[in-house]
Amino acid sequence: MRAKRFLTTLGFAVFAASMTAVVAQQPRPCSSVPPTERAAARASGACGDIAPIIDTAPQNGDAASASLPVSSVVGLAFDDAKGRLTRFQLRRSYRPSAEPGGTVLEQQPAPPARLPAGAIVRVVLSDGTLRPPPKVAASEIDEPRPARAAPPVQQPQPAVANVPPVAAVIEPPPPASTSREASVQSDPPLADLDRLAVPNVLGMSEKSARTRLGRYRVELRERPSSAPAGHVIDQDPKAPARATPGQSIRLIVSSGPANNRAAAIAQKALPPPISETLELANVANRSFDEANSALAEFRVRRVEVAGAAPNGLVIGQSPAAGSMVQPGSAITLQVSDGSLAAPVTTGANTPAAATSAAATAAANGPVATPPAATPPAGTTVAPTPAVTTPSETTPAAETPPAAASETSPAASAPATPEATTPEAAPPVSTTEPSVSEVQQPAEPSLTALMPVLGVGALLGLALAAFWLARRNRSSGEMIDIEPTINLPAEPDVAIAPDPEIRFAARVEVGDAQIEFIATSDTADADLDDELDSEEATIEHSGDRHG
Amino acid sequence: MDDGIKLGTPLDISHDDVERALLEYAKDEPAFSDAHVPLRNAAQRAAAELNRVLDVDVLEMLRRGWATVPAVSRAIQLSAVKKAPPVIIRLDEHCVSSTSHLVLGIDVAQKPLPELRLALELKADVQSATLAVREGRIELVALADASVVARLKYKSVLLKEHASGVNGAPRDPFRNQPAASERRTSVDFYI
Repeated sequence: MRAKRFLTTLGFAVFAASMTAVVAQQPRPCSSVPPTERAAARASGACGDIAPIIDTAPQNGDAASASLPVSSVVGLAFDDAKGRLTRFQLRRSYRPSAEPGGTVLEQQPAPPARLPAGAIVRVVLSDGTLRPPPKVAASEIDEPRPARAAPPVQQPQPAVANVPPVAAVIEPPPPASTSREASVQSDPPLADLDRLAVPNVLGMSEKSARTRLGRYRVELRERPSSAPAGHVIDQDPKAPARATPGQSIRLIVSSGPANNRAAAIAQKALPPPISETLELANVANRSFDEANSALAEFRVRRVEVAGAAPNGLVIGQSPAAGSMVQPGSAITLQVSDGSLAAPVTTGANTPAAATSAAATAAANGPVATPPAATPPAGTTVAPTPAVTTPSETTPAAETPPAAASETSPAASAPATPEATTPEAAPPVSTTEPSVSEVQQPAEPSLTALMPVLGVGALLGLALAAFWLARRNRSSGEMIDIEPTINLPAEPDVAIAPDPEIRFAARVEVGDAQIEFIATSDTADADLDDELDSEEATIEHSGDRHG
Repeated sequence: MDDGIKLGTPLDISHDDVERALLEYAKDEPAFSDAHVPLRNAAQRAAAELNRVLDVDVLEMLRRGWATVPAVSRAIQLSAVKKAPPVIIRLDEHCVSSTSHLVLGIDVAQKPLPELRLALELKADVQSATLAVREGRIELVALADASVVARLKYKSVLLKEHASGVNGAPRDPFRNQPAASERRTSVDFYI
């Protein structure tokens, strides 16, 4: 036996040494050579290709001249973007944004992409509707409006139906000669150039808000609120107002729910709740506790569902991640209870697998233990985990491997990496050497007997089937010994509705986008002019019919 | 005109579509694999439930797209705050697309399984549309040569695709008449 082991080790050593020598003789890969020097290096043998490669470095041939580089136009006005992308077809769509109307927000494809001439480049333009409205001095409200200027309005609503009334804002008069117009704050005033947009910190913790408002001076006040203590429930000025760095921003921080009546009355006197919305984070595949803390601004509701994921893991959330939700709204998290973990029997009868499976079972939470789960006398068995959170479970490290594999179905659960930690199986490791030494001589004989046993079992089964068929034929009965195939149930066959399965469907409506199909540059320019100057057209309609 | 316009032929989800979706979903969600067989038997009911909520109102989808056009958006806002006769807006050839989600909640033995989310992509190619904006709402005056493609998907797996014209809107009486000043969007008169 020792000689065999020595020979095996020697063989591995020789193989490893030869492989090392082969690898050392390989030239360095051409992919590590700069593209400009690659061809020369490849020709001179200074580098080599391990496998056939497709070289994507720019070549000086026709292929390169067939495509043109796409310039970056993000941040440019649409007209400028058109000027830069004259060799391509431009498709555009609009999106509400605080950027000036017609500014390119996104482009697809983006540099350094290359496209053939005439290919389509899609750009998303700002419609400018989220820009803060210009402010007008009170004395200017009675000023007569310019003839073709329509009043712009605040904060367009994406929803079409039931648009709530929005207060009209009077547009500043055009730059003219009267001295009173000096009091009008034009949009954007020159003084605004050094002012920055105040970020929205509603719903954040005090610490996060301070970090976010690093450029400003923060004044804190506390107020009882149903929001979690320490979270910002109001700010002044609110986003997207502009403020000079160093200017003070007043934050109202929740001090937690009010305990007495006076505080409750004071809370009633507060302004109405903030209607800001926050983007919902994706908390799937995180533990419930992590998800709960990540969604501190919301009311988190836990719903246990049957799942194959480990117990306590979030496997679904409603509303979906990325939704815009008001702080304090209810968020439902679907948390797996781990009850549908797929059983794996391979290796479950080995000591290590049994131990790791027991540890996995302990980590996964409640496991239905059959009544026959009686450990052998004299062994120490860890209590069956009956708690639901992994942190509260007792590690089943003391469970003997045999007891674990025989008594609990959890022993067949998949072994997880954490279940194989050294502290999970101290008793096993002490007995392993003796067991392996005892079993080693039996291995060759068992291996040799396997084919014989298999053939014998098959013959036995065939004889039994033949005997059964003869007996049933002689007694007048027919038995179907053909393998049965379970076909899926046909929909036309009347199936009794299973009351145990219930469905509830709903539709989550998404945003819509519009894209005008440009046929020529001229038409495009006309459209652009029209879209950017529709106020004048609307006013013109009023004049005609007024 | 506000009755809505529907797909020419409804996007009828069959039990086969549901079965395929469940099959794909079971690959991603092992919790489904155990309940897959009984759920397949109930696929017909699931399809009926999905069809019940799947009332494809193309006009509503088009309205959401049209509302993103700056001219239309501002007309909506203006008409919401100022009582005035409707504004007529004509849009030339364009394409409106949207993605909604059909979410199927499943309870087996009063225990909820992870929801099955199907994406419903709608893409409408419109040759021209004439809209009236009044009191903060878009009303469709006329729609010419519009077609809608609806695709039902589970992730990237296409379960059903259906192309159709739209029913319920008259043809655009202005379709052979160039828009004012040859512009592709025009806002030029009241009705």
